Amino acid sequence: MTLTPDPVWIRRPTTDRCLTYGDLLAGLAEPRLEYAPAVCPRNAVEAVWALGRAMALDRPLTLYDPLFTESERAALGATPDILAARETVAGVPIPEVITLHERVRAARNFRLTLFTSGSTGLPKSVSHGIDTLARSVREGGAHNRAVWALCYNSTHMAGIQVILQAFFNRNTVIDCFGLDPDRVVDAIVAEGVTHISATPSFYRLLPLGGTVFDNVQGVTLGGERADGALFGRLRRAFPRARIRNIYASTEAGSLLASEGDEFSIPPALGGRVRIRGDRLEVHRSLLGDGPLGDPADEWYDTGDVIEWAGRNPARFRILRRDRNWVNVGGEKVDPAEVAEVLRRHPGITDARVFARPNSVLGQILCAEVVASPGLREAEIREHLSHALNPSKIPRLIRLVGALPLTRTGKAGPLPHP
Amino acid sequence: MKTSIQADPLLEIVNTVRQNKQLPPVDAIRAGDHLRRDLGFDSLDLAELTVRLEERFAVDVFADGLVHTVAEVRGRLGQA
Repeated sequence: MTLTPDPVWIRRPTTDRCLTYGDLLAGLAEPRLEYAPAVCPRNAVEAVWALGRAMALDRPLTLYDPLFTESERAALGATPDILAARETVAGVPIPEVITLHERVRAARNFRLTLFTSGSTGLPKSVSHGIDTLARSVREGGAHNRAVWALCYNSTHMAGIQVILQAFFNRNTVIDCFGLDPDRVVDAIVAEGVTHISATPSFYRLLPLGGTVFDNVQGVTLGGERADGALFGRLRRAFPRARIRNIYASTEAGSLLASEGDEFSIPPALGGRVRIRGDRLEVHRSLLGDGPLGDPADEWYDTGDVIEWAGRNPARFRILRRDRNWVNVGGEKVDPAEVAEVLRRHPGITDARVFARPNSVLGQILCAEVVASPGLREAEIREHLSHALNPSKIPRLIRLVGALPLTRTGKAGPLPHP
Repeated sequence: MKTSIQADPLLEIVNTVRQNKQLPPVDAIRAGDHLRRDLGFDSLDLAELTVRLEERFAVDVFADGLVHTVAEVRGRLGQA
């Protein structure tokens, strides 16, 4: 029996979904446990529960994104049998969260498998140990009293970073992913949020108005390039906050951090991140386990293009994914994959998919489709919705007689209805 | 009813976006209608709305920050 209050690890506002650190410890104390090594969580609280148990029991865990389509899930091995599988393991009585932290830092069998968008369609699995996942966790001092707003999918690397940052400081995470932006603003105030981590698109959609959030001490951006106008808006709304930009990937975890949009390579990475030409490359020793690039290559091309901001010391801005990628509000989409799905429809002879700049999401996906007479746009959308998750479905679909000869990826004007 | 829908390009575009997400068309949009709460738009839908409006009116309604209501959209389009 301990008199220490039991802090909440994660809570979903306006619901009763909640997990405390005490709930996690109590669940571990049973003599024998049923452990689920593959989970497709219905919500962030379930994802955190699964992660907490995997770390504490020192077992591997695969987290499937609930936004995967049925066909993606099947292709990635998330069959009903796999998801229903349970291992009986011995419980671990752990008196305090502090003890659990030490245990997790020492975990050697714990591996978390997440999924990245593959360059040829299907997501690819990447597995990391705690060293990589917790590489950027900062502990102690002001972090003791932080309350985090989670604005990422909890099965993606960025979401895991927030969840672990909170875990190692016994902080509370307020799950704001997918909430209406008005409700997010309400939650920041009502829950006493001190730190927010989100994509630039997410911040752009927040109705900040003239409100000043004095309680917020940390604002973190990642996943896309942030423009100067957004930094200005954030500085006005969060005057006491340190505003940081993070460069992280599913392949290598969190790597670079900066104030503003200029990055440099920290000495702590020991020369294992480099710029070659205008591309950011990562040494293979930083990568998780998975089918990433050619295993014979010592360096892995992230596909991210940089622009120099200064040479001495070396500073650079990360512009965008290689032009093959489209970034829709922080979600990486491969237009070639979407075009391939379109061409699979029996009524479609050819298709091209490309991005247009968009003030809401950075980029928006568009398609031009050559189809047999009579095929309606609604049928094309129906076909796409079975194979692709919503961020990958083109928002504008134009039926054309033929595709342009030069496939530069540049958008032509759309027809007026 | 058909002619009144055709007469308002904003209503027509709103209904196109709604139709693409399997929502029934609305007969009319009121100045105070909230894009998210009343018309059911999420961020992907708002992005689609901006592109369709830009095609028609050559105005990016989100360029100077957020718009929340039909009246604000009309304001940015110079229809207020």
